[in-house]
Amino acid sequence: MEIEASGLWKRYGATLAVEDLSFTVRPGRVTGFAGPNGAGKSTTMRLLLGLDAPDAGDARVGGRPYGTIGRPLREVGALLETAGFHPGRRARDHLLWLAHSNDIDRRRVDAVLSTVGLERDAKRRVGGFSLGMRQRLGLAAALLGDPGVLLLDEPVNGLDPEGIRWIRGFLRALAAEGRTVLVSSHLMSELEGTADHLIVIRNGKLIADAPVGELLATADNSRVAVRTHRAGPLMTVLADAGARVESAGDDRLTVTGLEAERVADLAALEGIPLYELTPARASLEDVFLEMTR
Amino acid sequence: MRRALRAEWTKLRTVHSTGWSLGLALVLMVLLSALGGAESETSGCPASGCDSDIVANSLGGVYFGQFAVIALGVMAIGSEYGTGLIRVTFVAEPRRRIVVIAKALAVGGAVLVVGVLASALMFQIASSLLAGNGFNADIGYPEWSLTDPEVLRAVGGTAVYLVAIALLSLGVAALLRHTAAAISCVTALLVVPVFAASLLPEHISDRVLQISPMTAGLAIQRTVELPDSVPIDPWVGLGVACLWALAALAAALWLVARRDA
Repeated sequence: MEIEASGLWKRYGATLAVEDLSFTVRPGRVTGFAGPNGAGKSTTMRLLLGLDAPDAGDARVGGRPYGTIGRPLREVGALLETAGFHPGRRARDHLLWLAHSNDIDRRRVDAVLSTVGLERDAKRRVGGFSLGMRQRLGLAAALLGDPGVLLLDEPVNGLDPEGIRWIRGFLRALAAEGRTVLVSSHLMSELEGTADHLIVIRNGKLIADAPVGELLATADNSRVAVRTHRAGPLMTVLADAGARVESAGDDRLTVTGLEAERVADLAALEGIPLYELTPARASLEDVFLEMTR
Repeated sequence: MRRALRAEWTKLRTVHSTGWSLGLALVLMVLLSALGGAESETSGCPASGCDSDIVANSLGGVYFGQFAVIALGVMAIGSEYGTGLIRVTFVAEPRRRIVVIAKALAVGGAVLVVGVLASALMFQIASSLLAGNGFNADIGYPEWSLTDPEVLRAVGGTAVYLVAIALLSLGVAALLRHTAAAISCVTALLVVPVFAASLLPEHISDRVLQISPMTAGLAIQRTVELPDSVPIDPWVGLGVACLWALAALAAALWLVARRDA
């Protein structure tokens, strides 16, 4: 099942939150949905889930508007940006009413609680949960109906490093089973290594919709970190050779536009000792900052 | 509808506030009616006839207990707007009107059961206390029993009145999407007309009392016509309270599907 946005527009008062946004999310891979804070990611998620009505355009999940799906939790699992729990309700009861609402077997409640590692907290009230535990409970709710489509808004928020590693593996496994997985994040580093495909928006507009590999390839790869006690003279030499050189504190330089080998040769020619020479590959973060600048 | 009702009922029974507000409503009603019954003294019947409404007086606890019912009705949806849970609810059941109707049925059902129990208890306890304090056949008061038609009307009507107040509260909370605002609004709607009427000339104040949910609705408890009775038929009065509830729910149903959640 695919998730489709076509020509979505949404305005809140004076703010244009989403502007002519179109994309398709395909099954079998993790699609990252990235953009700075306030780019319109959560708005788009709400439009896809029928919570907010678009001013124009349409949002479909599995070919239908979300609101027309009979037992939606069995087809689509969603984790919303704001937690959405009653603090006085026990974790298990939160999942139980959700199960009742969509005719989901109540055995799934315990199954998803153990999937997210909350089985021992099932009878605790959600008000006493940490941010990470709430996030896990939200994921459990999304998984309750064993859906083929997952829309997760900032699922990594509040998770500890162990939780972050867990969710990455988990999302990859879900996609490998052929599910459609859309994961939003305002931090590219969170999506690196998880997402296969990226949809990037800024100010409500689409600025990229491409496989991760393709996006990385567009980045300027030749960045070299250098450490020497004669940073000043080396800067002059490298700049003369056409590189862009920036001081990165004390005796460290960042060189763009020259291969590591050229940097080493030039330094040797001038008799400048190098203590460190590290070619750095561009990260998604760099690509992202470049795109959203 | 069955799924939504089951979900809403599960929600209602799995938070403390439901038990608290229903328990508080029951205790307040029974306790304060009993207190009223125990503290009333008779100075005998004047020549014009016995002028205390034993039935209505013994059900007086409803004036206090209704506030706990308002809290329950408001919390049933207000707390969802407060915590963002409403979005989870609408993702699970995109037919929002079904959600509101299911909430109304769950809350209404719970309040009806507690309302019947509380009203019957109020009447039994307070009327026997009143009889013990001299409001009895010795000086010409009728001896009421729970199975008398007038008593059944008053006791059952009080329970229905509480259901109407709960649904009015639910509807207002769904409209305002804010717990504190909704509680204030409903409380004002019940109480302000009473004060307003006391300041207004009679022909206007009668009209105010006839169309206000509490003063009209509780006419259902009346078994004796007194000079200060609200001039409205008991059943028509209860109907007015129910109309308020239906109007609030109808407005909520109309708006809930049209607004962004």
